[in-house]
Formats: sequence, C-alpha cells, structure tokens
Amino acid sequence: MPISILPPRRAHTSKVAEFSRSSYDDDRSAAEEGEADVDMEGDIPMSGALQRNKRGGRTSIVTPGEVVTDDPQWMRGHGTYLAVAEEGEEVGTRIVATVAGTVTKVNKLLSVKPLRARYTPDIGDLVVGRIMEVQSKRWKVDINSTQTAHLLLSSINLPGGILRKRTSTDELQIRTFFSEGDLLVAEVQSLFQDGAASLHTRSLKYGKLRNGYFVKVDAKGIQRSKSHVLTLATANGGGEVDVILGVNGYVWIAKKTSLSDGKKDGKEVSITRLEEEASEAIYSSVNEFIAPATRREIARVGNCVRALVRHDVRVDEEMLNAVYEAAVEESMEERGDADESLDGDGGRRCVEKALGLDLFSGEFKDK
Amino acid sequence: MAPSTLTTLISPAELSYLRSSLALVPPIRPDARTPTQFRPLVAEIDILPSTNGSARMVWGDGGECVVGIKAEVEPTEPTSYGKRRNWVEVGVEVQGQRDDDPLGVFLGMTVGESLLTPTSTLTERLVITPKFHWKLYIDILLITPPLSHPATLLSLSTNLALRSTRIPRLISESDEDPIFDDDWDASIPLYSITSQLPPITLLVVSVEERNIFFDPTREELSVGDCVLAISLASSPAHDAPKVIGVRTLESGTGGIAADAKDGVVAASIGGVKRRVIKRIIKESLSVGKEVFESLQGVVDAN
Repeated sequence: MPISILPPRRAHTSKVAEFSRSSYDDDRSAAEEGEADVDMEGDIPMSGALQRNKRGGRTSIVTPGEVVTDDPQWMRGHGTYLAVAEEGEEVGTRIVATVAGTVTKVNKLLSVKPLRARYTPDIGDLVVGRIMEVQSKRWKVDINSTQTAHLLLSSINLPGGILRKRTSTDELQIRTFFSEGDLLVAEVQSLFQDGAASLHTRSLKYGKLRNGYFVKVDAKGIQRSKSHVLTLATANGGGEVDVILGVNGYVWIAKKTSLSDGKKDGKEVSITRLEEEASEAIYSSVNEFIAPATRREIARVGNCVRALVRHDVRVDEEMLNAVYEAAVEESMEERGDADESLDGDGGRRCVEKALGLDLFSGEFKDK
Repeated sequence: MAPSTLTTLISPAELSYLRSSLALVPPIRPDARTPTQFRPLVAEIDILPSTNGSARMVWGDGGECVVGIKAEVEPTEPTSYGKRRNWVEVGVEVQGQRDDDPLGVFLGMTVGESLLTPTSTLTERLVITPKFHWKLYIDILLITPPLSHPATLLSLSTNLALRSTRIPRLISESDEDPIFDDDWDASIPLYSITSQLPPITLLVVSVEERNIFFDPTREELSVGDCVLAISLASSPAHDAPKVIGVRTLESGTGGIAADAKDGVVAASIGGVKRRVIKRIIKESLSVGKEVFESLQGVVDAN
C-alpha cells in the first residue's frame, strides 16, 4: 500500500517525555517519589497549572496570557511576565505566561518551558548550520535561531596552516571556503548583546560537511550532553556512520571519514603537520565514494533520529543505538507491510522496543 | 514558475549525495521509503461546525492543512461555459506569510485548476436552477510552513472537504426563485456515493530516466530532472482513474547529472524523454487508484 491515511489519535500524556526530557525533570521525579510538592503544600492556593498529579507526574499546559499564579511568594522566570494589578482589582501582581508550555519551578522561581521553540545559542554549543549569506569578511549562518549567526573570516581555519594570518586575498576568495547553501559544523564562540551567536570552526573537528545527509528536527529534540559527535557501527555492511547532533536541532549523518587516516601519497603524515596537510581538503565539496549499503544505513539512522524526537525521547548514543538496533530487527522480520521509513507505527514500535515501554499507557513492557 | 519561497538552499555535497542515492538501482530515498510510498497522513473530516464541508490533514513531520468550504447562492448570468470559472473561489493562506505573498495565490491556482476542468464535473453539481447556482468558497489554511511542495497535501484535503460538503435541499420548483429546506439533516451531499469524485493532484519526480518517485520531499524535488503535477479524476466504482491534467513544475536545479567520476554535479543536456513522461503517467494511474481507495477509507470511517 503506497499510502496510509489514518484517523487522528487522541492526545495522551506520555510518561516517557517526563523522564527523558531534561535535568529539571530528574529533580522533580525524585521529589515526587518522596514527599511530593512539599514547598507547595499547605494553605497556599495555586492555580490549576501548578497542581500536579502526584502519581503520574503529569503537568498541564499553560497558554500565553494565562495567569499562572497570583501568589506573591513566587519569582517570575523565563516565559512569564509580571502583570501589575490595576486600580480597584483585588489581587496583587500576577505571574502570566508568555509562551505555551509547561510550568516548572526551581525553589521559588517559576518559569514556563515552551513546547516548541527556536534554538537559543549558548557559548560552547556544537551547532550545525547552513550559510545564508556571504559578506566581505564574514558569513551569515542559519542555525535555527531567531537571528542568523555570524562566522567571521578570522574564526575559521585558513588553508596552509593554522597559524597563518588572514590576508586580503582570503577576503577576495571568501566563497572558496564557504558559499551560500554550504553546511558546516561549528562551535558557538561568543554571543552578541542581542543574543545572536558568533561561531568558530578553528578545530579539525569543525568545518564543512560532506559525504552525508542532513536531517532537521525540532530544536528541543536535541539536548545538550557530553558528546554530540557519535559514531555508530551499522548493520548490513554499512560500515561506520558519524552522527553530528547539533544542539540547534540540525543533525548531520555521514559516512565515517577520518582525517587522521594519515596516508597521503603513501606517506605517513606526522601528527604535527596534520593541520596543514588536512586543510587543503577541508573546504572541498566533493563527496567520496559512498557504497549503497552505507547510504541505506544513513537513511535508517536519520529515520531513527526523527522517530526519537517525534516521541519525545532524548537522543543520545545509547538511545540511538538501541532504536537503530530495533529498526534493523524490524526490517529483518518478514512483514507484509515492510515500512522502513519509521514515520508511522513502525517508528513507534522501534522506540518502544528500545525503551522497553509502552509509549501511550506508560506501562513497562518485558524486553 | 514557483515562487522563490519554494526553493531551498542546498549544498553541492548534499545535492550530489541525494542525486546519486536516488539514481541507484534500486534507489535509496533519504528517508528509506519505497518509490511509490507516501509519507503517512492523518486526516479527519467534518471538523468545522459553521461550514458546509471541512477537512484537516497532517503530515507526520509538520505540514498541516485545514480546509473549509462555504456555499452561497448566486444568480447565474446567461453567458458561456467559460464564466463558470468564477463559481469556485480558492483562497490559500500560508501561516507566517504576508497576504500579498505570491505563494498563496500560486497554490490556490494549482488547486483550483484541476477542480475547474470540465471533466471534473464540479460545476455541473453547483447548478441549482437555470437561473441560480451555488458559489463555492474553498478556504485553505496551511498551518506550518511547507516542508515540501504542499500541492499534494492541499489537493488531498480539498478532496476530502468537498466530499464532506453538504448543501441544503431545494424545495421550490426549478422555475421559481430557490427556497431551501431549513432542516440540515435533510441536506444532500455535493458528491453522492455513486458519482464521480473530486480530482486529486499528485506530484511525481523523475531522476535519471530510470527512477520515478511519488510524494517527493523538498530535497528530492531539488535534484529531480522533471517534476510533474498529475491531476486524476476517479469514479467511485474504483475503475482506473482518468488523467485530467498534467502540469510541469520547476525542479530545483533544472535537471542535473551527477558526474560519476568525481561526484560533482553538472548540467545535463537534452531534457526529459517522452518515454519517461509516459511511464510517469502510467505509474500514477495505479498509484492514484490506491490513493482514491485510501481517501474513501477516511470518508467511510466518518
């Protein structure tokens, strides 16, 4: 069947989202196991948004303009503003949500975490970006943020050695390094006052991307973690595949190529000269030969990333490996409706298998 | 010419990777679908209370479309058939785009065009009496910015909305001014079960003569040699659908060929062969039949 049109599924609150989302959830679930909501109990009247089902750990959603609380003991955090009472009104200041999302609290600080948001850059983040515009001494890079990021000519590795000074020739040849549409991986070096990011690629880990496929997911789908560059050993003779998880929700999946393979014209390249030798090839847009088996596995890994994000599960090395394994198993099983795209039920089955959990009821399954 | 908002920036390395993957035998699509496989859709009909007919359709990753149809009685001017073009008005609003953005107008035309071809039989259904007819306002709201060309999504949801459209029953004689039954339960569907169904439009892209892909994503469109929007009309007897219109769309690169030696993309010479077009049309007939069956499933489930 080439097409499947399903009726809409009614919304369920997923438990998985709760424990897999991020660090604040960890403290909260810890608190829920013990004496839940200690600091909120007692005689303090709270609006519905803050009342939580203690067992399920479920939160309700507030919408922009909704009063989160009128209790003066709370401080306002991100995603809220203080509405000052007008004359004649009985209640004092109220905390009102400015985004649609879930209410979170840290001690007495109330904030609303948006359900969907663009990426907010932070110094040190690893991002994947696409060149939008070339200017005389810098590039403007789309990083899925509210503003385009800047990449200065002085913050890239120039060919011919890392210690070379930038010259006017480089300025004239700026398009030979990056031109419009090119994808690159970079690190956020600093932030401008308006929140726009300045990037740098001054490391062999960063630079132009090739030999692979670009996947865009929601910026909230990729959480900051220890490592954002993973290597998966794929099945079916696909070899090793590199996955670069940009914190901004841009993901690059490529055949593993290593600059430090160290062979050039049959000679070993010494580790000290590595920077120079490699830099000639750094700005090439030409792909290497990629075997069909590798391409197939790259597509599968991309589908796994999308499936994880769709089901609100944290994307990290362990989860990605587990879901990938489940996806390979799924495709091995002889089914009439073999669907490798993982867009529909197949994706849910794989994520459930990897988690050992039923996504809709929140019940644990036997692995 | 598609407005520029439909084209994407894409790097040469990605272009070459996509192109060579799609040109393989068997081809590898970037999301591992089979060539004729569509992305899963979620659809429901009759969702808006104050319309004559409505539908909503969602793509797995993003794209969402809501269609509402209102009918209004209008006196018929005694003129030629060509004036019937004004009997249906399609308005597309793309969220986040300005009102005067060409994208909405362009998409509206794409949808309206197939509805107004004489073979689609839509305008015959709108005749009330010799002096009066229904005027249909089809309002389409595209909620998320399109991840790929939204023509298929719009046309499928418009199809569902039209099939859920009901119009009041006429109780006056055909030579009087029309008077309708107040009872909504007595209204009659615009498309009865036994009639010919509203047309659908499918996008098809061909790569390197040998491979043909249905429901292409934006990236796939940008590396295709030839992109065709094929409008199909079907009868409820589930016979093979009829082709009622073929329109070429601009492919992102205007046809490129991957140089096998170094993987650099370069312009191809020639154009699209006639046998490719023939194959595309032949395949879209069999795929179109299954699409109509799936749409029928949505209507039946309601």
